[in-house]
Amino acid sequence: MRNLTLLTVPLLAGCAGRHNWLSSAGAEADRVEGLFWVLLIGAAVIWSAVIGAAVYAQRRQVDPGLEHQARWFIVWGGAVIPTVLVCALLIWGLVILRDITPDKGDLTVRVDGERWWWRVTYDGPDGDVVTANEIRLPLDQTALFRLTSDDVIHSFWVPAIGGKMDMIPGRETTLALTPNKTGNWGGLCAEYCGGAHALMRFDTVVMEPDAFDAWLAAEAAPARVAPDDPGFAVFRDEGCGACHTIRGTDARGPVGPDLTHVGARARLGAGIYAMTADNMARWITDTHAMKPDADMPPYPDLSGARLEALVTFLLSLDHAE
Amino acid sequence: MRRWIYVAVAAAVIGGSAFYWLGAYNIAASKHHLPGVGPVLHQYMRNVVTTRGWGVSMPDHVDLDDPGLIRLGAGHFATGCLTCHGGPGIPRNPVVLGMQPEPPMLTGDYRASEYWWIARHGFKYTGMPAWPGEGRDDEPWALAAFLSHYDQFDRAAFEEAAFGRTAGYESAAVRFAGQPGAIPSGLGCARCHGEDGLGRDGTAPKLAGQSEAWLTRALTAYADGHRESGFMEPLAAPLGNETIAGVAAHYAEMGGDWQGRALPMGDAARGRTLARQGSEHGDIASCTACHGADRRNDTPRIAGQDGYWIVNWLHMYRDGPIPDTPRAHLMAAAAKALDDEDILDLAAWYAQAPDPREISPPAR
Repeated sequence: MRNLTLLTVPLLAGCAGRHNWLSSAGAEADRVEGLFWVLLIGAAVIWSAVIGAAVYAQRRQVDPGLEHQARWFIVWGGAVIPTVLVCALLIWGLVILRDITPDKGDLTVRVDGERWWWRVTYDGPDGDVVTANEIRLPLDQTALFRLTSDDVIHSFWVPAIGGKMDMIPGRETTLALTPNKTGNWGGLCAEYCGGAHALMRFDTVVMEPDAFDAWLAAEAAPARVAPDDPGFAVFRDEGCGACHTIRGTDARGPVGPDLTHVGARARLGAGIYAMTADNMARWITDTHAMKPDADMPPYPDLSGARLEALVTFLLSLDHAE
Repeated sequence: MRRWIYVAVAAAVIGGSAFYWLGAYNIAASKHHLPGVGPVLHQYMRNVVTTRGWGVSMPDHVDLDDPGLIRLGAGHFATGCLTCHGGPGIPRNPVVLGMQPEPPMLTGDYRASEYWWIARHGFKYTGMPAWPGEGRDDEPWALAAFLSHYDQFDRAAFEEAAFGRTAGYESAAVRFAGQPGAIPSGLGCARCHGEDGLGRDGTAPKLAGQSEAWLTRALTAYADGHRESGFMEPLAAPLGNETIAGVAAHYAEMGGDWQGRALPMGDAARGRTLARQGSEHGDIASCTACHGADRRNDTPRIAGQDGYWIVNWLHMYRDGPIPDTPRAHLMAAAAKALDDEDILDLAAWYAQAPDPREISPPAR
């Protein structure tokens, strides 16, 4: 009994918090949850009936007169009913699959799986709004996700709201998410994709529609960088712009996460560390201690005032007016 | 029956031990091989070279008839080979004639891939060393180019190729090259990099106007083994810090118009786009963010360098041996995702000595 209790602890832990797929924070998760409960309860009922019948048959004397009925029982209970049930479940599942992979939504978000982070692109009024590792969604609107991958197969999953859906190199998959509870829900890669797979996460922030519109407008604006910003001088001198883009400056590297408003994100390293000065400094100088195998090379020779200026500059890239 | 086996084993152990510990077989170089042994061993060596040569394939960008590559091979021959093998019209020093086997005068009778293999790997038990730059598979092709044309050289032509001046090598007697004083110091770098620092028409990379900081770092890294090169390590190793500083200052002060020799391959237009913008889908960083007109002084100038060297270096940073120097890992990260075509295209564009405004990051 004690062992059984211990076994249930991790199971229950999985049912709490921002990654809980039973927390009903999205319409699609609700659909899947409904299917789950029907399957679970139905399976329990059928299992009980089958075991009950088996026990009953064990205890009964063989009665040759009932052979005809027994045959009918086997044909119906063993073949016809299971076939009908499985087909019904398949149809139900396909209907859900159709509904959560529509052609259009109230807004479109493109997410590109990279090793090991997420490139996120919104359709803004003036073209693409590129950001990374943090997805914001308006409450009660259906966001259509267009999912791609540049390298290996990833899988996009926000358990509390819906999913998951594979991201496959060379093709585009779609997934709809209609969040119905505000909050910050966790997202993650659900398909093993290499060394830092477990550290490939993102935040999904569900906002009131007005707040979302304000956020998207702020995200679409270029960065405000003073021409003589000492931190930006370090950024250029170290060649950070070879990989990273800061819109509004000459840094337009296409490889790593867009840093135009990096200071406005809650986390760094693809949803794994709080966005603090200490974490940013450590990320720059000792990247692989925080995220083994990350493609970003560390800059261990940056220190003192230069490092401080760079970190201050990056954290200043927020939404403040 | 079993008894006889014990006796035989014991006799072998005792006899073998006695042979080993007493040094019964005389390995003195003054003694010739037993009759027939020398030719058998020599033929075995030839067999090894033939078989291994089958597995060697020459990179597409290597041209064995390129005069620059031949000169580079001749220059390295003067550094590392001449001492033992003599050269065209240059006899071997009597010291090496005492070796067993005696290092042969070369006659140009191997195929290029076989010369590459021999220069790259050397031979055990003979005194023939492996290539000093461990892992630098690109470099021995220069020697293969020179040795493939060996028969066409007389002494004057060889010295011109290796030193840029005939009779640059001061003495008829062969010295141990690479040691201080063996090659006149005035010719030490210039014989390949050119007296104007522009690389003697494609013999070696251009150095004129590279920053003092970069030249010092690179030479120091060659000298202490943190950057592999069979050409540079033997020459840099004997240099003291003072000499390195002097050489660096000397080349840093030079001006000069860098006109890179482009390879007859690669798409410069695509290279331009890649270098300036990188590639999101290829995970390729922009080159010009670091190697632009306003680069740091510890970042080398690339624009106008010869395509041949750019290709070799990008292969080196991608496939190794990656230098063990402070910022080399950044270049390795940048080169990691390049494929062979990207490398040729980038080399084609950078070799064209693009306008300095072109190599600054483009304004948005």
